[in-house]
Amino acid sequence: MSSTPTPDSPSQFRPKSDTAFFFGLGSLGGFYLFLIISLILALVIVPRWGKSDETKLLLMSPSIREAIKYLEAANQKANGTVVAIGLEQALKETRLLDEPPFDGRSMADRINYISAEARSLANIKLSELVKKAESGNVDIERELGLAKNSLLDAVAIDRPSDYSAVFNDPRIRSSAKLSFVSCTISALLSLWVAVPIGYTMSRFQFRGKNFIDTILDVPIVLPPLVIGLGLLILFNNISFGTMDVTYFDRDGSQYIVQENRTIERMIKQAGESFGLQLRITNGAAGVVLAQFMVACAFAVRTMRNTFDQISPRQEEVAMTLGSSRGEAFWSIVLPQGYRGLMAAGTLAWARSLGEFGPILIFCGINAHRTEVMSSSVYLQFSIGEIEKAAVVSLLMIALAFVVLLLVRNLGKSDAAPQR
Amino acid sequence: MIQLENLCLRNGSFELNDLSVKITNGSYGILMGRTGCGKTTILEAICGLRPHVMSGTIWLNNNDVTELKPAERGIGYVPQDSALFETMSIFDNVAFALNLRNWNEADIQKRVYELAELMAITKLLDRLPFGLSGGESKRVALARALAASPGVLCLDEPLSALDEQTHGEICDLLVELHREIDVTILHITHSSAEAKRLGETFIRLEDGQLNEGSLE
Repeated sequence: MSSTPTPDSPSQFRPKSDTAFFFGLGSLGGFYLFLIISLILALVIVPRWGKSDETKLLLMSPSIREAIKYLEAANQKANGTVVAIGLEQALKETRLLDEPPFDGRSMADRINYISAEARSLANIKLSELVKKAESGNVDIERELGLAKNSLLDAVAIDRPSDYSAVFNDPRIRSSAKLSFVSCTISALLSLWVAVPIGYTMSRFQFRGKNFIDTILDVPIVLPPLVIGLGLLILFNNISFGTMDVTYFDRDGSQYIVQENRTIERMIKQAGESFGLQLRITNGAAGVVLAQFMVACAFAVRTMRNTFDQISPRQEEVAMTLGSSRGEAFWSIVLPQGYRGLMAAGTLAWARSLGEFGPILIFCGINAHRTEVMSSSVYLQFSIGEIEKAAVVSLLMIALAFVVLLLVRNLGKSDAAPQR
Repeated sequence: MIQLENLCLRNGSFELNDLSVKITNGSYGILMGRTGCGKTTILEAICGLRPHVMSGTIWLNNNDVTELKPAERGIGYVPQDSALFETMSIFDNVAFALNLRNWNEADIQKRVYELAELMAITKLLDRLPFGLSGGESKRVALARALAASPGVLCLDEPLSALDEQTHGEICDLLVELHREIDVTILHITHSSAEAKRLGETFIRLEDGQLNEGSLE
């Protein structure tokens, strides 16, 4: 007996629940959001804040007392040996640190005095004593080592906060300045190039368009490092014949050497004839060039998409009404592409800020000249100053945040000009 | 006057060959044909847009315009989607051609209000095109096309995608325009009712051939 299907009625049919779908959306999206936020939080938590002077004094004294304890132990062992006098002296000085004579000095001065004395005690006097003890066959090396560590612990408490250390570092200040300026310049340059290329690729059909399209994508696909290498080779290893280069000796005498005629040398020579010191490789101009090479490819892509989305019909109408292609572009297309223009500029700027590999290869890291913030992060990290690296990273995040916010608001208020 | 003489066109891989037709001065020409048969391609060729003219001649008001830029042909063009300039107010849309011709402010004002009155869009002049209804967009596009008094007006399916009432209104407007303004019109449509109501010269595009004749 076959069962006839009953017709659907609202009361019988139940669509599948949406819970799983929304749970998927929330959990996958939320997971990434969580990662971003915890990453920023980690950068915020790691750098140390400065301590108050009272806290510093309070924290220093246990370490110093510990040092005294170890020195006393060493003193007992070393009684009557070659190191006894020196050890006695060191012990005396260390005791002075714990109870500095009250002479009306401010707390900050006392901290300065303690940390300077403790540092010289630990690094100079105790080190000498260790050597003496060794040569005198006195077995107090362990005690001295522990005392030294305790003294350095006390010194470490005097450390300024990582924030003030970074903000007051002239080197990092100038790297922040260079980052901001070079990113802005390369973003503007990128737009200047990306708008005409994007428009051409979007509106016109011509032979070899696919090939050009592929070439334009190369900087996106290529590792940025390779772009830096390519620039370095282009400017310094490709030669067009030879040229005379004047070198100056230390005593002021000059001599002329025949060198390869590279682009870098030609630029330098051209600059000299105008009385200018021009350099691309290892110079700020090179930083901009390296950033531009990568950022521009992204700007081109964005501008092309922007123009693709604007119907050519409006330009065509404008042309029938009497405008030239150029007039139609300026009055019809560009105002409509304003948001895309902003997006392309922002993208180029952000890419430039994060650029590191090509700058490292093409320009190196020279303080006050080619060091940008990403290089600063790398430098701080490589010398073990993870906290300072985190502060510089935070500075980058803050800078990017402010710029992105500004540009976004600019895009909003001007997107549709009112009459 | 619109006259095509042995015109051969190519638009991408689409080709139309040996087109000849004439619409006399001040006449209302209707170009009919099936969807995709190349009506718009012919219209765009007359406007000097995308299609590539391989041979033949286009005459507009006794001038050979085959080699001229769209800007030099003295045409008004209303595309199917109106294509109003999105970032400009309706006033600026209508005044666009006049601004290009360096009219002075007062004359532009006068001309725009004159056209706005004719098209019944005076209330809209301060607005941006965003949010206009289909009928309003068509009126604005017509005003914009007519602003610089072109000799030829090209309408690409101006009455498609309009509701019945608006359809009637725009139809009436076109009749009135044709009566008031001295302009040769080429109107693309596939509705014979429209053609019957508006047309004076009827052209059919069938199998790549233009046939002049009556409606039937």
